Amino acid sequence: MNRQEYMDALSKALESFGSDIKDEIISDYEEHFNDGLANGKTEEQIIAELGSIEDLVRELKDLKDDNTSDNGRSFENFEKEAKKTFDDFSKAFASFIGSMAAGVTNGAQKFTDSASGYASNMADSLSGSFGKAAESFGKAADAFADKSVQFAKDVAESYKNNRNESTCERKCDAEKGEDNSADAEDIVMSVSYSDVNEISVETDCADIIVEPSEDGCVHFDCDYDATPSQKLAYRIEYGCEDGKAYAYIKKKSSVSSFFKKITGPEAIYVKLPGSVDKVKLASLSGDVELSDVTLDKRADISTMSGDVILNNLSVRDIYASTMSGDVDAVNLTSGIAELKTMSGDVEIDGNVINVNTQSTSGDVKAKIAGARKVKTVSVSGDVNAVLEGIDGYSATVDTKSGDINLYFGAESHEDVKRGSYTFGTGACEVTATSVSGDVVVEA
Amino acid sequence: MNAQFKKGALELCVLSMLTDGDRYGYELTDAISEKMEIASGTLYLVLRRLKEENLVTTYLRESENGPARKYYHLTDEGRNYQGQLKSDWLGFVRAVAGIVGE
Repeated sequence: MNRQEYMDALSKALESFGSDIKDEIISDYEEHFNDGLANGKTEEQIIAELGSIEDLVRELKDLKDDNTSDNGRSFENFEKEAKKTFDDFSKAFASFIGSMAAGVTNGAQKFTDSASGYASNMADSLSGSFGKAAESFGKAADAFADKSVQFAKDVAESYKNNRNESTCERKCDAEKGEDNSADAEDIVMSVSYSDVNEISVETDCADIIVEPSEDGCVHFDCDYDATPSQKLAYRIEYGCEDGKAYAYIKKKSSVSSFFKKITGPEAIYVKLPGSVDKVKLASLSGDVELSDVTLDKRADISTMSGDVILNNLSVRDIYASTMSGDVDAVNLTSGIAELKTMSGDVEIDGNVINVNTQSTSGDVKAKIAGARKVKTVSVSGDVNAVLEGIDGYSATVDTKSGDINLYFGAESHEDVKRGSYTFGTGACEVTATSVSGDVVVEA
Repeated sequence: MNAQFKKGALELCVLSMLTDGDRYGYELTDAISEKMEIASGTLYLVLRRLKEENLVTTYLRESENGPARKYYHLTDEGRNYQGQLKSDWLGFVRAVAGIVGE
């Protein structure tokens, strides 16, 4: 092989990596050839020196994988990951539909085997109902796919929103020369701010743990017992301006140590005073946990694989979404609570006026007092709504292959059909649906 | 070889060669592949990655004969990182030597 052939093959092999990477490597190699030849080497020698193109491609791929692995996962990859999760889920759903179809075929087979006298009548009625079932299934699958795409977009969008605003704030700070970012040497964060009414915290793998403050100040604490190379790899930024305090813990680069991947801080501890009425909390793989906190306005929480855990939270509006984490709210007091997960479970108990809980493949369990509107939706999980302190409800219930059971006081209606049912005054509006799970509403 | 180990070792070699001055690709890769069996292509990937991590920067400078060359320059962050890698490495070598004997 001569230089021309080698470079042609290289150019072809790098096609899939994008023009940035390709152009740079090509120009590095051309330069290497020029210098090698000028130093009296032959083209063959230089080709042997540069090494096989297959090896280079393999190393490039490894690098790429390395960057998208859990620790090196960047916020930029969030949408990509969201799409992947959705794709995986779609596959699972497709196989679920497939298994349903197989069930139908089995049934048909059994039926043929039985060959009884009224076979043909039965066949007509059966194929009729199977046909309808298949049709409604197709529709459900379409609707689900649409919903899931929308959901993945929403999560990604809410993530980006949280992020864009924060980036802006940071810029303002940098321009004014008030960037309080920690140096590489100083990664332990312990700061407090007074007169704060809004906070924003963003991490990639650290948990965000929020508790009430006792001195009227916001506190951010992060104790990171790190080796020097870990300190180089992570960056902590924090600051406060116009009543908004922020803290970010981000992986700076994918620098490696010799034997193991670098792990970041495990958690950031946030103390919230009563003056704060708005929080934005976002993490990629960390959990977000709020305990005993009261917020007059709203809480926006998003994670990719971390859980959302809310204990004794009181907030006007809360919007929490996660891709693969669980959402668990105990004793939540809220006006509007929207809690969504893609593959985790949602469990909430508390006092909420308008609650919207959704999961695609997990179970949804809501135990709510004094609700006016309750929505519990899943695709392949079970749905359970327990309503307290109300004098009646009107429920829209649906599932394709699960059971529907409705209870109101001493009344019990088990294994009912999909549709709308009203009990008592019908004041509380309930939507409880699944595709393959059971649906239970109790009051 | 442990991939993480190889990556760290090559990063250390490249960064160390830049501590006393800027160098161009061929200079770096030729000097390293003279001492160890390593494809120059791999080293260009290491350089690329170091650049992405802001541990080195690059600039073009005219050469006496032929087109401009890409030079690599160690950033402050790169210098810190080199120091850290170096002490990790020496500590490791000492520990291994202590066990296997000189």
